[in-house]
Amino acid sequence: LSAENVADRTAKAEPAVDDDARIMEEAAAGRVERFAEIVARHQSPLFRVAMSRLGDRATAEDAVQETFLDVFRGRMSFRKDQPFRPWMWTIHKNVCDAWLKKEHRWKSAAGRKTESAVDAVEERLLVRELLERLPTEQAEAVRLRFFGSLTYVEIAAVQKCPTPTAKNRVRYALQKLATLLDESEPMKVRQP
Amino acid sequence: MSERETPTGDPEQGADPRVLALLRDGTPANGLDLAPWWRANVAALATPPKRKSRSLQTWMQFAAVFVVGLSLGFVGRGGQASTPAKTQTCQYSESERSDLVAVLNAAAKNRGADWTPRQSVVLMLCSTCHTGQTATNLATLNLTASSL
Repeated sequence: LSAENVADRTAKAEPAVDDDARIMEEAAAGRVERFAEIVARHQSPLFRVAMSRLGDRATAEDAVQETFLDVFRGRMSFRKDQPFRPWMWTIHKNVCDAWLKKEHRWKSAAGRKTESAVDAVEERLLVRELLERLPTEQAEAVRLRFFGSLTYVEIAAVQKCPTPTAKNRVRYALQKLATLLDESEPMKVRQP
Repeated sequence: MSERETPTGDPEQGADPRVLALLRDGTPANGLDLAPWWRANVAALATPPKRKSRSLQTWMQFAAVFVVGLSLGFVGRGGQASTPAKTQTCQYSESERSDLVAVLNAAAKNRGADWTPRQSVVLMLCSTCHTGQTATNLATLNLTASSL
């Protein structure tokens, strides 16, 4: 994923920012059918991050659906002057945190790696394993950046930290991932 | 350099290309499409649930229970419960209570009129007597009073 690609994806997402707040406003005013646009627009990045965090497809789908339900329920309290995406991603983070806390899905998902490997490429498993070895906030920042396509300002808003801190989390995470990748070279050799 | 120190530039610039490639190739698979479900169900989610109206059969059941209650004397005028409240009678005789008060007063003499444990024990006695609880008996109270 090159920097240009990320920038491109982010740039494509930018025009939607205002749209999201407008759609939420319309949904709050009674045009609830408009909410399906929010779902269509954000389900993929939300799912990718949920999948990376929870490690299990069914659980990730449930987490995304729960996120949308919470966002929909919150349409009345959403202030149109606040940025929509960090608000939604914060809800998503809380939903995933709750899943991990209550159900210990990560542990059970790790136990299911063998069976899930049937339909998952080894890179995905490797990325999950490597991210698991990073400090939680750094791994989260990488997921939001690369799987969620969030800007650093948005990551900072979700993680409730200054933007430079969010950038440094990604920077250190990438450096550590490079080191971990060197250590796990034998695993890479096995890849097709 | 700590996480909080000001960074210089884009964190992805100069990053190991293997890592960037791995993150690209290792992006979890997609394939989720919840939008059709939302299009079909969002209106129902927004509608507050209607209060279920009771059927005639349910009302008839209520009426039957009321009539049975009336015939057994549980229901009085205006639907008020007609069962009389139990009369609160003290389980201790007058002499027993006098004995306890005497014990408490004797103890209070040594410790002053505002002796708080004495008031507490008397309160306990009253609530024990008049709520019909039998967990405490006079012997225990006497013992408590004398040990105080």
